[in-house]
Amino acid sequence: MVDPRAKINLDGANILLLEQSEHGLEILVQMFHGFGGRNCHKCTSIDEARSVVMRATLDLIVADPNLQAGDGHEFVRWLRTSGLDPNRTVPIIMISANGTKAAVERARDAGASYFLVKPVTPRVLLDRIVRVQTDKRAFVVCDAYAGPDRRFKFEGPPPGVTPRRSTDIKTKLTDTGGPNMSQSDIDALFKPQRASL
Amino acid sequence: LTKSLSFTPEQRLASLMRRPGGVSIEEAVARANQRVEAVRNHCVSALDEKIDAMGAVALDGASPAQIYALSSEIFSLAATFELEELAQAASSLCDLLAKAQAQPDMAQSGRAFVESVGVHVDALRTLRRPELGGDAAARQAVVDGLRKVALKHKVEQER
Repeated sequence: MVDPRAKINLDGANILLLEQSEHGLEILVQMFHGFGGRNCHKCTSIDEARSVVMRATLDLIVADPNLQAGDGHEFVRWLRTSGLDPNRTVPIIMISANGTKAAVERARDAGASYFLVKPVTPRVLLDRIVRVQTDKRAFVVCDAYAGPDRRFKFEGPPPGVTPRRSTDIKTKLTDTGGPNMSQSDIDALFKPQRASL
Repeated sequence: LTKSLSFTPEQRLASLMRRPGGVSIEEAVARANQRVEAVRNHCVSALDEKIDAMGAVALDGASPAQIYALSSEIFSLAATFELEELAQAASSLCDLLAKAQAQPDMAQSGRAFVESVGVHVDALRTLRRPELGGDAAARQAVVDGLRKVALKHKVEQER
């Protein structure tokens, strides 16, 4: 947790909030106004969010990937690969009620910087925003991914390739759903670290 | 091999946040909490409409992802404003729908899935009305029952 006496200044920061629910959006706006952030772009659809990204220089995006029309992951993936500078490298915090490992990995692999499980309190959200300042991760662009450097984790050979090592996982990995992860486990999935193979 | 590029982008937000002025984190959190509290009635009064809307799209054969989006809204509002039982019921529905998204066979299996969603919608309506929901023990029994319904689907899928 950050020092509660430390000062922050969000006045002048351009923040895009993507949340399909008018009321959920209202709660986020109130939180940011409380933090001193006045320039909030409120979006309830991917089309609106894309329109804002094209015309404004953003400093932070907070997005719920679960939208009735469209998929917030696709928006993040589109932005990360869009070539729109400087917005393509903007920090993105995803917030979702679904905190399963599969959901967290999906957000991370789309290019999200952080992931928070709902309900998000002002303290938790602000703590995460403050951590953005100390995020030294490189931005990676390759054919399969664009976004903050991800932890490299060995999960066996690619599909269709015969396992060779004794430690290779031989069964098919499936999305099993599972219970929501704790916030510290979620953070670990976003923390880059060297792989030991 | 594919080519990859790696660079350290400028952190505009970090520079902005470190400018002189602003407020302490303690004060910012207190102000945000006050502001969220100020919209409580507006948000909580919308819950009935959202539950009805979710019930309608579920009956219309909406996909688990579409129902999930609405269920997640209800959970988020209920949990934010500490309506614990409603939040637990919505969370149970979110779990059920997340499983259905991960395992499409479950949603396609038809009646049992639709009925499970319907049971959750009815329970959410009941828990919104204390005069119908009974005492705390009765309301908790409703929530526990929903968890069993969601768990039953999981067990059946794993067979």
